[in-house]
Amino acid sequence: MSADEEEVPRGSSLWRDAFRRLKKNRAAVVSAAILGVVVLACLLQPSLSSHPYDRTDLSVGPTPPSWEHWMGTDYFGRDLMTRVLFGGRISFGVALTATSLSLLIGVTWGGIAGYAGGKVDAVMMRIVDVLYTFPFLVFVILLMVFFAGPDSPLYSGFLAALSPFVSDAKDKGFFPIFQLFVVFAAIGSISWLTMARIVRGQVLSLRNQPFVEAARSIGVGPAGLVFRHLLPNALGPIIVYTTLTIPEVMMTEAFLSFLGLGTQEPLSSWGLLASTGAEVMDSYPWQLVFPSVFLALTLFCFNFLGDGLRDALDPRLRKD
Amino acid sequence: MIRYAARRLLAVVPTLWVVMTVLFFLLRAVPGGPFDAERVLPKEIEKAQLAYYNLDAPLFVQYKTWLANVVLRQDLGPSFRHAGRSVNEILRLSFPYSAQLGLLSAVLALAVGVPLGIQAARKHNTAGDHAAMGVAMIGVSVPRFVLAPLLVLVFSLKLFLLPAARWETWRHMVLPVICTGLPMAAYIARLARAGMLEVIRSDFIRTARAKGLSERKIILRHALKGALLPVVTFMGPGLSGLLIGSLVVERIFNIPGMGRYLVEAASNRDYNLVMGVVLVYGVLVMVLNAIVDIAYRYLDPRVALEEP
Amino acid sequence: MRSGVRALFLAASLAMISSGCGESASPYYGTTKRTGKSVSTFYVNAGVEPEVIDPGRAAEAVGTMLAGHMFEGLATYDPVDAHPTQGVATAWDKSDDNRLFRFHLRKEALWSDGKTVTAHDFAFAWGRVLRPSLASRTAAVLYVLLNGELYQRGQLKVTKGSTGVVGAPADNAAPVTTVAAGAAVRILKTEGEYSQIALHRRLPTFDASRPPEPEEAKPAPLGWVPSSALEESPSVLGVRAVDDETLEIEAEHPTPYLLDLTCYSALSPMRRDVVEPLESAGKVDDLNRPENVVGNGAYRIVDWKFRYEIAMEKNPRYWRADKLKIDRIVWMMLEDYRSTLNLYKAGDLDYIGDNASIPPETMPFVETKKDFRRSYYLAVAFYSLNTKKPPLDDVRVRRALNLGLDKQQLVDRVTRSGQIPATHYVPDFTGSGYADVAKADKAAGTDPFSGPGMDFDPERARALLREAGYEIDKDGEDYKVRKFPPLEILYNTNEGNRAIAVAIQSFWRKHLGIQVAVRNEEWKVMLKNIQEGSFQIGRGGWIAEYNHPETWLDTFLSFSPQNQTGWGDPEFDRTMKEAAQTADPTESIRKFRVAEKIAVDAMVKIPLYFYTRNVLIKPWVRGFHPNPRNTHHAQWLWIDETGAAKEEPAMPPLDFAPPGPFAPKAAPPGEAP
Repeated sequence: MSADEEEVPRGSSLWRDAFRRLKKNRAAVVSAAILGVVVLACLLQPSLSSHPYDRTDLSVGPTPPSWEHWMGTDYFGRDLMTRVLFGGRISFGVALTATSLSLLIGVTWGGIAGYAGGKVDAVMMRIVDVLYTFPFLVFVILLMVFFAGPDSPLYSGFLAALSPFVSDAKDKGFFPIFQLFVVFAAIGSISWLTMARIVRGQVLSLRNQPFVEAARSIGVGPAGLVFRHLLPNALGPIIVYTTLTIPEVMMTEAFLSFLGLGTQEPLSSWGLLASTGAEVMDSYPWQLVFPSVFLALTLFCFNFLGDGLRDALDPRLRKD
Repeated sequence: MIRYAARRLLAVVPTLWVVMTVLFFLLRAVPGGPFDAERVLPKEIEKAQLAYYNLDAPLFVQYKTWLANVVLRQDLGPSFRHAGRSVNEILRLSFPYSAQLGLLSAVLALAVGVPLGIQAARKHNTAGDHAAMGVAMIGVSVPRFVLAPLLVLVFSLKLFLLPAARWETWRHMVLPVICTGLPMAAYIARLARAGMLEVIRSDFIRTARAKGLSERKIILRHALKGALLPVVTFMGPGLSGLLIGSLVVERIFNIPGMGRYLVEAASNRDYNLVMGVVLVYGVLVMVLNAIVDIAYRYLDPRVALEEP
Repeated sequence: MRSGVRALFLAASLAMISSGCGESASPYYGTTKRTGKSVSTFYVNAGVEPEVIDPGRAAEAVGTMLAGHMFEGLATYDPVDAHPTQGVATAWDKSDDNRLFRFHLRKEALWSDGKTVTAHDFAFAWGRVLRPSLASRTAAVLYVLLNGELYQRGQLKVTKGSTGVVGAPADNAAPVTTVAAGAAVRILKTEGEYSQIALHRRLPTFDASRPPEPEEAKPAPLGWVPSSALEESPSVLGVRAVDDETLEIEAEHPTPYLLDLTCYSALSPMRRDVVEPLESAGKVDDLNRPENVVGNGAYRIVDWKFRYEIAMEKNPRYWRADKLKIDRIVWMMLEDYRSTLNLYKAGDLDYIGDNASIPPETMPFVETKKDFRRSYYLAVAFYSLNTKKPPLDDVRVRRALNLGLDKQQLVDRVTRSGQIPATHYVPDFTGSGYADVAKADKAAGTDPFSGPGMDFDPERARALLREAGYEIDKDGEDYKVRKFPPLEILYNTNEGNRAIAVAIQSFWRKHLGIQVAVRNEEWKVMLKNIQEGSFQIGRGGWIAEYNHPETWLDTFLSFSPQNQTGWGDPEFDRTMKEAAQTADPTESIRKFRVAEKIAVDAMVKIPLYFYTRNVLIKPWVRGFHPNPRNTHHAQWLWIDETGAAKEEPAMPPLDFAPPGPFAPKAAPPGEAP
């Protein structure tokens, strides 16, 4: 142990400590393992399955789970398992984008506002209020129509970025995928608001505590104070709210898709599959059960992993 | 404190003005107009229709008229979708329903969520904690469009205990309140637990423990206030969302509330109605956020809001 | 956490089991006992909040339905098969060429405030519907009146006084001539304050022996007049009140379906003394407020809880009020199909309503119930093709796309409500004689819309594609077409639309090897894109406004605002006009069928299916009959809780005697002949 401490820089050892503690948390380890399996399945299964996610067969129609189709088929005879796992990619995508934006913007914004206080805080929080109030739907329609249409410069840019990898990008209809990215960004751009307010609230309460005064008196600058001292002590609510953001953004994606502003056929996502399933739950309950189970399972895992991470990173637990 | 409150309330006006002005112009930039339908009307008729609502005037003139009507006469204009109804009337008729449902749901959410979160934090990392958080995660991950039909199926169609829809007696309110309140309770439980965990380990609680105060006293007198900080923050936007109502719950339970208009009016391009609903929502969000900030002061005396 | 998953499973399987068992045993959907409710109150779901209930402006289904209960036209739909029966009118006359009509009104018809319903109320109301400034969305149904369309579009006015005509749109332009006061003029162009006019001689004569002047294709411009010298006057329209009890109509062209049209809510009478004060105060929308509704129908509105419930009560002054058995109607605004079905199941609703829909996936279960009713509906679903966009500019490709669609499977497996696969645009059960001609053609084996080249035929479809220059390879069981330009189906977001789009996508891929994309858009965005022609394949549908082939075929006219396909054929336009002007009804229908064939051959809209209406109505409701107009007036219904009473309407409908000849009658005093 002591040899390690000499070889690696201190920061890394901090993370290593945290990782060691995390490994001891059974719930977190199991959650991580399950998440790993789910992610892997989402990445691999759709390409390996003998039932492509968009293969329709109307003569089959909706069938309950069977050996041929483990999770049954949907209204068009498409294999539900492949669809669910393929949909997982989009759900993870939106969760990842939106939560990273939420963490990145929200935590920084809230941290700065809370630490600076006074006029800076007031202005930053009024901006948050404005964004809260502005109707999201109007914002997304505008975004999709004006900045992300098939003829928009943004899409041309997207195609240009793809061109080194794909030869005939224009013909292949990357538009649905491009639209997805835009939707992810749109969702991310509002998902940080509550995070910012929560972080600000925590920082406001922490910044006059003795340990902050102590750090300030030994000459730690504002950035150091916010990022090294204040935010780590607000980690609990940050992590918890992050795990709460995930279901919310997944449902927002499904809701937008329902209005014609998100995922396009034949692509799907867990939220969309679950809401379509909910519509037909009296007749074909499996169409609701399977996507919901994946959704719930993933959220559970994120939640317990988050709790474990929080405990592992807790500066005060370290002191024990 | 009073000065701070007054300043915050005064700030609502310019902030709202910014939102409404931006929204006014962006709404009209959204493709499609209020009277577009599958049956296309001759151009002359479309023009006459727009003229009736003054929608053919230059944008800036429309804006001035709108602003003047709102400021001078508190008149939000007519709804384009519901002929003969003014936006004022629609808001006046629908808001009480949403507010009633929202308040009841908020009470339920707090009554369930806070104790659950506090208990879970006290029993940190035990089976009880995991069970409580497991239940909370179900609340978070089961969307309302699934929860509502399931509740109706069990309580109305199988057990015949409660009505399936409509808004008449207290019995009609039970299912919608549960459906709106429970997911919120789950959020609150998660946040309360997180807040509590932060506080329990802080130095001043250690001191209190060292002094030999009873656990009950420590929790109620010292820890609870600080622990509620994230919950209180969340209730700012959370409660305004509850008060304005939810599209899904209002549709499924046939409640004539206001929640549907946030989406519906935007989809119908009912400009005035969108503006009206956003105005109400904006006032709610901003006032509640201001109240939250003031509440910080009571929850945690170290919070200084007026520092430069 | 595993317990959580288990709980979710448990809840779901509970739902599964409980919804499956128990109720399927009953031959009815839900309770068959009506408890705690008055037999004279009818509980029904209206569907959604009406937008407009002013009969002159109501265009959407709910608004027209409610207006139809508060107002009564000259005729009213029969409760059984929806043919026109007596309303305010007791008898009618018509000219041999179906161009002139006279209605005789009943003296006992009263308004809800006690005044008598007169022919003037009809003439006023129709003129109002067509008044340009009212901008009524439903005015097109009155384009049958002579000059109706020109008048509504603001192109036909009269001079206020004697007016000097000048040679150019300028103040100092040289005078050309003078037009007398009250002269009808066409407005050809407007520049600044001036309008370029032509004299309009095609005016109603109300005289079978004196037909109006023929329509001028290109009216000769007379000169310019100040726009302020012209005013709108309904006197140019083909409707007039001869006296309080006689209304005369002159149609733009032979209109065999005019009587049917008079049942429609837009042709209801209205009271000038009620409407004008509000209109002149700029408050026309206030006519939708219950306190301002003065109607002549069987019911009047008594309470309106916005977005929740409308209560109507029997109008005691209605001319046969004593015969009504339903005294009170409670219309609920239930938008969610599941809550509609739940309330119906519990017995809180007597009828799920004309505008409710039962989703396809529950249909196999619901349609076996004894309280389920299905009827054909005068509406067609189609996909519009934009002929300006390749590859759809090639008629062979368009036909191939049509033939590559297995419409039978579409209705059997996707829409699932007994719809009829469509090979053309006018439903075979359309009235005005269309159904008879279609039946005769089928019997003789000469139906132009069935057989090879019309029905699903993937072989032929692929042959057409090859002919159009696309190579098709066999790819295992499937096909693959080479170098086919990208195609996209556009639809507005809705479960049903999505299902159809996905199914059609799969048919084309399977049978033709074409990969099309599907894209859904927010409703108004899609409307705009379709109207601007920025689409390739767009979803659409058309519900009959009157029971005649023209209502569908008009949308194919090259100048129709409903035609966004970019296709226009002078041959089609000419045939349509000829058909409309043919006096003999059967001959006229045959010509419409010829026009329809032209449109089908061009295949600019792929017909998918003819709609059905599917409803649930409690066994205790009597007098209810499914009909293709989807109209069920509460005045015919009654409630029999014993379930033993005979099935008959609450009161007998009064059929019209055959129309008398249209003999000339003196013009009303004070009006120029």
